[in-house]
Amino acid sequence: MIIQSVMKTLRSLKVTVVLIICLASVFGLGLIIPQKNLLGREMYPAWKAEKPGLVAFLEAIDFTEIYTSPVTFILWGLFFLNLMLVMISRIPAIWKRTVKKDLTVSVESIKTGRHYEVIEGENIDSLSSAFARRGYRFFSDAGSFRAIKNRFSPLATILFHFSFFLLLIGAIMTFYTKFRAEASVAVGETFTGQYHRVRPPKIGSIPETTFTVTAINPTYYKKTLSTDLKVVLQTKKGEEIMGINKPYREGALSFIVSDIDIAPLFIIKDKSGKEVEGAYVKLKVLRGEEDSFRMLGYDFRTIFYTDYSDEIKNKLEKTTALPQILKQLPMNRRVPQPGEVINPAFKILIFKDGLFVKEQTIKKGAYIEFEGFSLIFEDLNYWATFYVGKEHGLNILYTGFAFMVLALIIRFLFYRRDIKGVIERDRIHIGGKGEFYPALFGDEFRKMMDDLKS
Amino acid sequence: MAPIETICIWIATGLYAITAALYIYSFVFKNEKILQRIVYIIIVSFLFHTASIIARYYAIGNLPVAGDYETALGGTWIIVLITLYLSLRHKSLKSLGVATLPFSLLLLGFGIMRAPGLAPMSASLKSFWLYIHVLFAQIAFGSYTIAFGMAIIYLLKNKNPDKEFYGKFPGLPRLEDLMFRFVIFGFITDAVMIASGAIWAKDLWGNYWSWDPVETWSLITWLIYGLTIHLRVTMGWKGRKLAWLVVFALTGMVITFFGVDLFVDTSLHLFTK
Repeated sequence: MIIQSVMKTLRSLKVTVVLIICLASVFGLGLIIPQKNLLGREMYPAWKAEKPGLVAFLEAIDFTEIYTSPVTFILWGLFFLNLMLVMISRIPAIWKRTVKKDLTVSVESIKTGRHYEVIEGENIDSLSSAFARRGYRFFSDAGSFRAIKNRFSPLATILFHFSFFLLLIGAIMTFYTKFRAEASVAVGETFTGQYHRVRPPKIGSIPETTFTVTAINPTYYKKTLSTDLKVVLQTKKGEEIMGINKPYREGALSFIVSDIDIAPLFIIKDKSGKEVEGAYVKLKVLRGEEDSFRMLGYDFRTIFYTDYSDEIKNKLEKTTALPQILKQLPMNRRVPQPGEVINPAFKILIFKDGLFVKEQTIKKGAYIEFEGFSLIFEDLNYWATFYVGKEHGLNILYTGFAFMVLALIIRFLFYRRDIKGVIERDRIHIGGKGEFYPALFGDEFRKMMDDLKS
Repeated sequence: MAPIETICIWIATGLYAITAALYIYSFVFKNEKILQRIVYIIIVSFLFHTASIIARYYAIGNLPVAGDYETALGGTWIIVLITLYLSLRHKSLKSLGVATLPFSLLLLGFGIMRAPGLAPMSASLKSFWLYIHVLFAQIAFGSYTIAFGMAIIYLLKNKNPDKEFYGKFPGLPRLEDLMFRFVIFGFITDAVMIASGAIWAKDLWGNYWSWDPVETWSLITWLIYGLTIHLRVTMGWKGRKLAWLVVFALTGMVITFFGVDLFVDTSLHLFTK
């Protein structure tokens, strides 16, 4: 009894309305409450430090990850349960209505309808061809007929509901098989699976692959706006060119360029000119940020200039007059600059055990001398950050989208029109109804009747 | 903006402003003569609007589909196109512009104020999916706005059933059907917009859905319109209740298009990277 009552409530259309409102509200809350995955790795801890009590409460109820919180999952669960129960209860009725062509029609039932006309002097054959010309299927029996346009349109309701289940299956499959990671590869470097920030799949293993980045060529408009990016890879299949909006794919595994930056070749030589250390160093400095690297026990803090000019040089000379103590503080600066590398230069501050040693700005091919060594800025390459992803179920998900759109088109644009008629001697009583747009169907019906009369 | 584009868009905006003012005047003072003639001013302003889009196309080398200004330029073009088509085809729908023209004027004004510089398309926007995504977004937006216009006329006519001025407008049941039909059309094209966006997002950002504020708002809007359809089809909502719901629902679409980027700086849809 209780189960039946619960089931009755769950398959109610009012519950569907409530659930849609609840889901929309939860999504809305996600826009108001800062979300951990959207706020970023730096901003979220800052917010947490600022409002510890509030954040602790929101974290306790999982509202800082609201889209994957138990509340949201319960709502989705109820939504799909409701959808399934509504489908189960409505499919037989829809099927019956669509397939069965009931020809038992009475004049009284036609007259009580919204659209009704009487025409004279027509026979069943001329009516049949007149309706056929307008796309109606014509069924007749002794003394009555029925003309239906888009007869199977109601079946699209089932397709629409079914598409949601495809979306659900696709979403569950992608959720459990989702692998995400990042990979940083410089020009000339071979990737063999050195992922970082790995989020392994719940089902399945971390995918393996290998390729070599042979070139990275960005194109800029007015030095600033990136208008194209070509990343050339040497893969098992041969040369592949990828870029923005053009991922490199190996089956379900895809590599997307999420960022590029520069990898300068720095070489340290001793007094005799012998190379003691050297490497292409991946730095995150292209947008004017500060980054550092370590070689031979020294820390090198760097700022990169894409287009080093005299103006910048003059500014830098002024800053060299800063007191020694300031040079030990973090630079924490970000110099807005064009992305296109035209006249590259590095401002480098050298530290040993936290103590300032030397500061100098050098262009490509130049060097800094310090404590018996020289640091040479020998070459400049790019490196790319790839956003790596793999999951299964995407095709099911996209099929769900396609079915949903198709079902909506069939159901609402090719909606069903149903015309019934009874022949009474030389008079024909005709009544009709159309789904969803009764007044517009009325116009269509009247026009059709006028045509028949004329 | 390119010089020709600047001239054309400002003339179009000026004419839209005059049109909007005339619509309001004709409704306030129940002047039917003006109402019948406004459509000619809309035709002229629409031609200038179209010319500004063509001028921009030649200046930047691609269709204007990115950023607030270009979104407003294309979005309002579709709204005015449908308004014009309906006004010319159905005499009784000449009043539709009373809601859609002032709304388009506000959107276009907002777009122009958002510093529409001339620049070629950035690498992240160079995708075939952009055109599908934006085209369907603008058609959806246009359809929802027309439905909003029908709802406004419905409410005005419903409030003044005996006034002669409203007598030449379509009957209430017909207005309701037209309003609902545009909601349906918007809902379908909105679904295509979301689906095409998801497919494009997978190639561009690596995830078909990221709960980005713009994505989330578009889903909320789609749900609101889905709810509107559900309430009419299965629960028999009609008349004023439905019209008010259609008026309210447009808020979601406006926020999706223009609001989110104003209040958050974390949206992937800002295309700042």
